Amino acid sequence: MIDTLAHASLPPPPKPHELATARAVTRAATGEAPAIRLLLIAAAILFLTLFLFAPLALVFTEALRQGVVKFIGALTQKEALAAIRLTLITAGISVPLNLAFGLAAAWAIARFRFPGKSLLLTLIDLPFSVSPVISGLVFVLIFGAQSLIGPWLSAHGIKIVFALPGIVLATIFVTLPFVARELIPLMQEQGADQEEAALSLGASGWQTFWHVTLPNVRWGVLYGVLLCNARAMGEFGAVSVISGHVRGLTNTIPLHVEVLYNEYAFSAAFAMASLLALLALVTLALKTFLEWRFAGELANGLRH
Amino acid sequence: MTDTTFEAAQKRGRHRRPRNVLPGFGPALGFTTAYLSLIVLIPLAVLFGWSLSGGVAAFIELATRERTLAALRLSFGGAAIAAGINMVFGLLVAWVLSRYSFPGRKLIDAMVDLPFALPTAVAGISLATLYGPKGWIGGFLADYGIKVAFTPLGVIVALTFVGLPFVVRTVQPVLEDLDRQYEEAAATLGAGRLQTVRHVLLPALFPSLLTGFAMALARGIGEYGSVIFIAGNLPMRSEIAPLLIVIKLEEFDYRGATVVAATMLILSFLMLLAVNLLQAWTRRHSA
Amino acid sequence: MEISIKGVRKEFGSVAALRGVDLDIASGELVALLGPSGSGKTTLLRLIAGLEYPEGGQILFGGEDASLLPVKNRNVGFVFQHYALFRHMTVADNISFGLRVRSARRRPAREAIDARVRELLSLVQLPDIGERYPHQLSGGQRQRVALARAMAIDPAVLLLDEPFGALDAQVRKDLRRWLRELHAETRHTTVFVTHDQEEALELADRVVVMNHGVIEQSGRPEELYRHPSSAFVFGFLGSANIFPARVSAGAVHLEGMERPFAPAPAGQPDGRYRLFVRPHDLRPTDQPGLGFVGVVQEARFLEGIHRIAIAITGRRDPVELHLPAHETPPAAGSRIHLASERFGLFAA
Repeated sequence: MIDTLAHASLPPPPKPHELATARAVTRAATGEAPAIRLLLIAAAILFLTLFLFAPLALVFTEALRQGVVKFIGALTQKEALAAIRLTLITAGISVPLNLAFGLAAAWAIARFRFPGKSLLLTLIDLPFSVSPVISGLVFVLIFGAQSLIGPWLSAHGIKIVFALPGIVLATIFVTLPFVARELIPLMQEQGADQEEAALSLGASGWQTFWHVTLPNVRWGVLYGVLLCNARAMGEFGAVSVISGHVRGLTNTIPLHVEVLYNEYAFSAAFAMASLLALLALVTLALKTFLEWRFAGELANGLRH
Repeated sequence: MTDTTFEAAQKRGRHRRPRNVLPGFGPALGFTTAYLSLIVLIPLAVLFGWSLSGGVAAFIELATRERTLAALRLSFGGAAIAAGINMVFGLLVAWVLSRYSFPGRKLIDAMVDLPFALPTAVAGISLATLYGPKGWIGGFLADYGIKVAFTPLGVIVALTFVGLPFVVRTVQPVLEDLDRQYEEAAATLGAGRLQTVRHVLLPALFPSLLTGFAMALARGIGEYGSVIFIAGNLPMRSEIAPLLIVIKLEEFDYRGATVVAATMLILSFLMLLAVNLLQAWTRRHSA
Repeated sequence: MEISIKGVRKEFGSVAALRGVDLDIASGELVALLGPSGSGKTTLLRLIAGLEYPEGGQILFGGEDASLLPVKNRNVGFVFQHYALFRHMTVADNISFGLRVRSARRRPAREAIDARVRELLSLVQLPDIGERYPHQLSGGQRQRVALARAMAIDPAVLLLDEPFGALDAQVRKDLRRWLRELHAETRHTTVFVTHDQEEALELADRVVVMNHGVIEQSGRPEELYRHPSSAFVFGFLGSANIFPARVSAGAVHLEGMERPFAPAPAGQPDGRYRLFVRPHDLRPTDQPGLGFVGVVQEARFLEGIHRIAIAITGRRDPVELHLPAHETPPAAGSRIHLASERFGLFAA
């Protein structure tokens, strides 16, 4: 030992009862004692139960509180069916548009270098940090009666605010980043080698894109579309501002849930809500499956 | 011309026309920027234009009205508290999920993302019922004189739900990648478990905790759907900023609505800037 | 501090990592645990450190049972394979960590800690890097800082897990010599794990060869090399030509050869064996009585040694022969007669 250095003696040898305790409680030297482990697991599960599992369970119990017949009745009401239809149409328009945007953005950003790239990346993320209410508000400002082009629009009989186009615009705004956010890191990871190889073998740009790029990112695309769709069908704040709540006409499922809830039709409200909860569960299941099965073919970024 | 300047020129050239073997840069970037401008940038510019249409003085006057300030305080304060709660419990959940194995772990792991997938209106009415005076949890709390519905507490409950996945999902991968050797090294040097957690684990996790906090915060500030049902709309008490925007809009007070919205956006931006600076600072010290 | 390991067993699930290990380490000794991966050497090191607990047997520190003493109370200096330096702490904070986490009663004063850090940094010959962060250091520097950190707590024993595994060849050589000198200076009881025989033989006072969870042999480097007690040790340390052989009528015969290879060692019972002989222990000879005959395939010259491959009928791999630089190697294609008095015989 280095005798010039301050000496610290070895701690006193353990007493027999200390040894017994060590044997009883410690398996891995740096882990927690089983009791603490159990306590932490219990605390985590309690937290998740209060904030996650209980709300989810409540949706289904409330939906079925008055029996299956009432439940089905609530879902097949004329207004309910109209809401479901509107939701499907909205998602059916906005998801493909955002998919096209995501592919274009990923192609430009992951395959080329250009000034202002990181600014562009930040701007693509912007809708995530804008309140949904503001996302709806901006389109009311542009297309509403008080706006610059409002009078012109109404003179020509074009309805955007309080109509399908407005709902779609707001939904696109809110769900814009999903596909792009999944594809950009994924395509950056994969690099351009395969595309360059295809081009060197004589493929055209489109052939390269269809036969090389898309197959390589197909699970990433599906992943992004899945999350984009879930948000598009479930968006509430943005759509609420711009839809005008015209029953049977401009109410999506989430808006219809609100209307029913505010009319104290709780069972019907939760019946509609259970549809969306089911959509959420299916989305989660598919998402988990994709992450499990195709982990190597997805971007490693944070999931939204 | 010497070799070096020739190479430099070549490099510059490559920089200017990068990877030009791949086609489609022009159309792709053109479509991207056009789409982004039409959907996001121009609308947001119009918003700021509207908010300033009465001049800066009027903007400030509207932005500092008592009711506006109360709503902003509730949205930002509530989001900060909820993000704080999620920082603690998100760390706990991430820890339990990545360190221990127990039945149901995989299911719980998948379910953590539920708030990303569950529409906010659904979460809203469910939380309102659950934590309402007659709800499973609300009824229990009412026995102890704790009122959640239509109080700021309700806002915090809803925002905790909404922000729950962020911290878990930022911390979990870092925790999984963290080599056990750091903890073992601390232990061989005589550190107790708590000392190891405090001096070794937490500093290593801090940047990711901060990222998760910032994301939960950003999400919470603007949250609307999950909050309004449980919080109600009592001005000065449980009225969040996004709700104030909706109310002003319903009163056709467009400028009032845009001023609140613009203020929210500016404040969020400043807040995220501060978090980013803090993060850059911590990263410099832990590289 | 002397360390005694008595009948230690350790299982991971159903896999036995250590199957009854006995080892005594004297105070101030520098011991290498050498073995292939999966031999249990790292497990033994971690058991000594208290990073794992044994399922049976005892580990004594200075005569006291420390088998179940928690790692944080065991006072061992452990240098991890990848150093495990705390990334968010400066070098100085890393080194002083073990002192700073002590209870107030045992914690040295701040100035004493600072002095100690300076002392250790100069001991590891890195006096000016206290304020740097680990990511600003080279691999060799990190290794030294990790060592300084481990020594800061004045450990009962220094334990090093593959200390040079993550370094490139030249740095590895320099550090090896440096560590040898440092040990001569400080006389810390030191145990290190390696799979590199050269490292073990060059550095250690004593080498403990492990295989399949047991100690095969333990001894001074030269002793192990000259008198390996098992086929495994013979083959693991240095290179060897291996022949199927048999002992009968007081002589050793290689399978398929008509004449005997050598007289049988005294008391060697008749039977089938595997015969090990080192390339430099084989000698060309003119005496026709003992040995075997082969044809020179090729001769190469490397690091001052002639390395000669010799083909033998009935054997697929050529036999390797080493001759010192000053001797003239036989020409390729020529017949050569080889014999040796030094060889090992192990049960087939």
